[in-house]
This record gives sequence, C-alpha cells and structure tokens, in this order.
Amino acid sequence: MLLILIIFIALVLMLEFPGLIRSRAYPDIIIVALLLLLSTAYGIAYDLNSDILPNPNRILFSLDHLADSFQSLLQLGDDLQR
Amino acid sequence: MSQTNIASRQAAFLTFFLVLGSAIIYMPESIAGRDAWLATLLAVPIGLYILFVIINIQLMFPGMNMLDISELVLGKSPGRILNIFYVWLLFIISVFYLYDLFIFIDIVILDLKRYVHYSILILLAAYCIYKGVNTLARLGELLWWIAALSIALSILLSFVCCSEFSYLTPVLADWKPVVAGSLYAANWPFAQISVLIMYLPFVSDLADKRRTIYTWYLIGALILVVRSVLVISILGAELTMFSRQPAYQALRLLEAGTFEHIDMVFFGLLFITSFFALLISYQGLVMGVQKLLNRDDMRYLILPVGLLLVVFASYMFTTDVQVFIRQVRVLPFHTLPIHLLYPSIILIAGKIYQKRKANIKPVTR
Repeated sequence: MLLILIIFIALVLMLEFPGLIRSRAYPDIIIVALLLLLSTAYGIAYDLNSDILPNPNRILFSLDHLADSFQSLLQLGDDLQR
Repeated sequence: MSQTNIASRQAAFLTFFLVLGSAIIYMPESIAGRDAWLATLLAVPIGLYILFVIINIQLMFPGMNMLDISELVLGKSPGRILNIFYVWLLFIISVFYLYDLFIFIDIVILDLKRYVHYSILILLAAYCIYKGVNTLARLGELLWWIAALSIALSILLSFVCCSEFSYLTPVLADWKPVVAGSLYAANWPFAQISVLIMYLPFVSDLADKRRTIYTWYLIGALILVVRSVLVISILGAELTMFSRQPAYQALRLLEAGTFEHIDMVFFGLLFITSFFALLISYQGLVMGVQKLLNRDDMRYLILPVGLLLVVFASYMFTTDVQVFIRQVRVLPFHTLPIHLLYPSIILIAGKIYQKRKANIKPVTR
C-alpha cells in the first residue's frame, strides 16, 4: 500500500502541483494536500492492520437492524440469504 | 459541438452503461429465486422516476449543475447540507463499483493484491477522466455496439444451448421474496441512474431529444430482465441464489460447437459495463467534490479523489462474505432514500422557486 501511496502522490506532485503553484492557487493546493493526507492516514492504517481511524462502514451498515426487520417482516429465512 | 458539450444520444449511451453496470454480473435481485425477472421488472419504474425528475429539473434550469440548483432553490445552507448527502452517495457508489470490479477480475483472472487492482483500475479511469466529459461520452458511443453485439450473442447462445424454461415455473408462488428482490434491484442498479445528475448540464439538446435517454434506459432495463430470465433458466433458482456472480456463472456454461472458453468474449462485455459504471460514478464524484468545495477546476482533484477511493475501498472491505450480503441487503436503506429524496426535494423546491419568481411583478416607474 505504501508504494501505491508514493506512486499516486508522486503523480500528483508531477502533474498538478507545478500548475497550481504557478497560478498561485493556494486554496486548491491546501485541498489537494488535505485529500492526500487523509488518503495517507488511511493507507498507513490499512498497512498496519489498525482500526484506529473511523470506518465509513459503521455509518453505512448502521442500518443493519432495519434490513433485519425488513427480512423478518417478509419472513425471508436464512436460506434466502447468500 | 464544444469540448464540454455532449449530445443526448451520447448521454443515452452513458445511461445504458450505468443501468447495466456491475449489477448485470451480480444480480442483486436473485433473492427472489425463480421470480427474479419479475423483481427486476418491478424495480424499473424507480429508475424511470428518478430519470424523469432529474431531466425535468435540468430543463427548468438549463446548463446549471444540480448542486448549484440545490443551493439556489433551497438556500445556501440547506442546499449545501443536501449536497453533502449527495456527494457522500457518489462516494459510496464509486467505492462499491470499484470493489465489484475488483471481485469480478480477481475471481476470473488475476491474483494480485486488492489495492494493486484498485490502483490499476483507478489510474485507467483517471486517464479517461483527464480527457474530459466529451471524450467519455464518445468512448461510450464507440463501445455501445460491442456491448450490444456481445449481449445479443449471449442471449442467442443461451436460448439455443442451455436454457431450461421449466425452472421459471411456477410464477409468483411466493410474493415476499419478489418484494425484497425488487427493493434490492431498485437500489442497485436502477436508482443509481441518479449519477446522471452530474452529466445532464453538459447535454446540449436535452429539451428536444430527451426521449433518447429514456429509450436507452428502458433498453438497459429490458436486457436486465432478459438476463434474469436466462440466468435462472440456465442455473436454476437455487444455484442463482447462492452464486456470487450468477450471470458470469451462466455464461461459462455456454457452448458453441467446438469453440472453448467463449465465456472470455462475455468477460469483455461484463468488464466494459462495470468499468463504465465506475468511470461515470468516479467522474461524477470528482465533479461533485469540485462543486461542493466551490472550485473552478476539477482537473487537479482527479488523482487525489482516485487515491481516496483506492484507500477507502481497501480499508472498508476486508472480507467479501460480509460485504456482499450487506451491499445487497443493508445498503438500500442507506442509499435509496438519498437517490429518491435528493432530486425530488430539488424538483419541488425548484417549482416553488419558479412560481415565486413568476409572481414577482416587474417594478414600473
């Protein structure tokens, strides 16, 4: 994962940063830097097998109970679930 | 036509690829068993409704991006909050399309680490996005006939060689799985047509030729219904329900004389439709982030957003067993309301906005 992070960051630095610096688009530079920082943080957490950072799955699958209620409402048994 | 404009015909092909997407392989409505085709059919109006709403909004505010329209008709803060929900939805859709494509490729051919897969796919998509909306639309125009030809061939071969239509009877013996299946299919793929929101401002002849978009949506939906019929008639209801990729599983069983491995021809088709869905949603996400952050240019966001997708897809999905069940069963309760409510709220607010605007009498001296 670290190699992937380095490749992407190098590509951004080579392709986008010169233009952004030349046009003095500082807010854009900050946005790119923040996005890369976020990706790096999650990439390192993945590499270290750590779950210290919040996982979007927690939001996504917070509605598990609703799905279960729907299934039981329709009386769909386990045999119908993959 | 300018470099940023696309024709309705091109937008229609994007619609076609978005409807087929990765759902053509995974068949989320397979929970409905032998009535899966009925579940697919029942889910079609959901996408049609979303398409109708987003096209109408675009005709009310021609050339304007939906995120801008949202802030105009709802007010700055409520519009922005609604936009955050929509961009979140685009992010989720893109991550899942990336994951679906990885699972498909990983099972079929390559054996690389998942983040290497993700990176290759994202870099490929990023290259297309760098070329602009117009190029993406032209790519769709170039590839649709390959997809159509492969689909026609697979349907023909399925009919001739392996279909056993008795697997489809009795029809509607139990309506409950059909209801569940149609909810799942409504969310994935039909409601995902809402991604088209980001592309409609670029369509130059939307008012005159919007019917083309509806037509290609319905063609895509019809193909999915036929897919459901054929997959069940080849695999049977049980195997379809427990298969991870029912459509590809069925295609592997096809035979044509002495030809072997003809499923690789269809692998190309399934890859094209899934990759296009990823491409469209990824570009939509980049445009969404650009609008949300109020920036003029989206070019410099392509790679950072792509990296974000690679990293999050790796971080979020570690075991496939849990992901697929939840993607089909739980995700509709999270994403379907946004798919439906986001455009509907903007349409209602847009109507009120235009009515108020018309009622303001011109000041005369």
